Amino acid sequence: MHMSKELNNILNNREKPIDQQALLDYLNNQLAGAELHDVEKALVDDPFLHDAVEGLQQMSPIQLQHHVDNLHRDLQKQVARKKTRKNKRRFKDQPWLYLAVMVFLLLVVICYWVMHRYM
Amino acid sequence: MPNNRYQHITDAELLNQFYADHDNAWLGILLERYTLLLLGVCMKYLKNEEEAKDAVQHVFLKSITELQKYKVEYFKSWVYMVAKNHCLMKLRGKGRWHKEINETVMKTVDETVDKKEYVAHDHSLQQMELALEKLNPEQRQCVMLFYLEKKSYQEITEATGFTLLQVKSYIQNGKRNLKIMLERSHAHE
Repeated sequence: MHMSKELNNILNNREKPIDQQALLDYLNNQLAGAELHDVEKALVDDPFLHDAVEGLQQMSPIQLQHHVDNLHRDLQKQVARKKTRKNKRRFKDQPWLYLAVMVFLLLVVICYWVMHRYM
Repeated sequence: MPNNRYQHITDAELLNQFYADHDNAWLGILLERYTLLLLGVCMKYLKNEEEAKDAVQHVFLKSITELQKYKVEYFKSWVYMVAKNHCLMKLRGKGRWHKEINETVMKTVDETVDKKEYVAHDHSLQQMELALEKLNPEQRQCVMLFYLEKKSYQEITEATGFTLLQVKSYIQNGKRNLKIMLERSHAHE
């Protein structure tokens, strides 16, 4: 019986999260049928999604993609910045590198001094 | 979307990649998945677009720094808590939330695990029907229309005359009650 399968499915939660496009379509009232039901089922089970939809419904739906794009751009900058900072720290963690630089500078100074003196 | 090619990788796998090589790019991919949801949550609490966008940036930054410090098991619930805490602190005015967040958030458990385990129990049809019978009429009506007839919230409000808010809460509470009843009957076996 078809109904019985549905009956047992009431307590099952969907495994796959709702993707961003489906959510945007939902907010734009562009979903119907099974796709709409999928999102609404997830809304019952997922407090994060539920809160988010409540907030997003207060915003202009056509602007949302734009906001997301901007936030992603900033995020990528953050991620890149943190990476360079980490690289700098790594440089500090390697004392031999410091030593090599010092020795090299010392050599330059000595060369300069020798040349200046004997030439 | 630029990160579509990572779609098949789960949150947990991305986090593990990050813990393995400490490359923030993994966190970038992970956080992008939640941008829209985070924006919505921040908007819900702060009720101001600019503040909400600012708050999302804070959550991103916070996540990148915090995840370097300790291991998070369930990213989704964690980042939701980070966002909620940030907004609540903001609403409360400037406060010390740094310490607090670590303590509350570290304890966050993933509710979905509990639910998934639950699914493993196969409830007999009679049990389910019995439990449905025991729901109050409003909850039963909404649960049946929603889960069995797959009606949308909107269609249910039209069919029943309840408000949208009522429909949502009848479905949510009805499902919770069903679960409680079935767990109880399971424990009695």
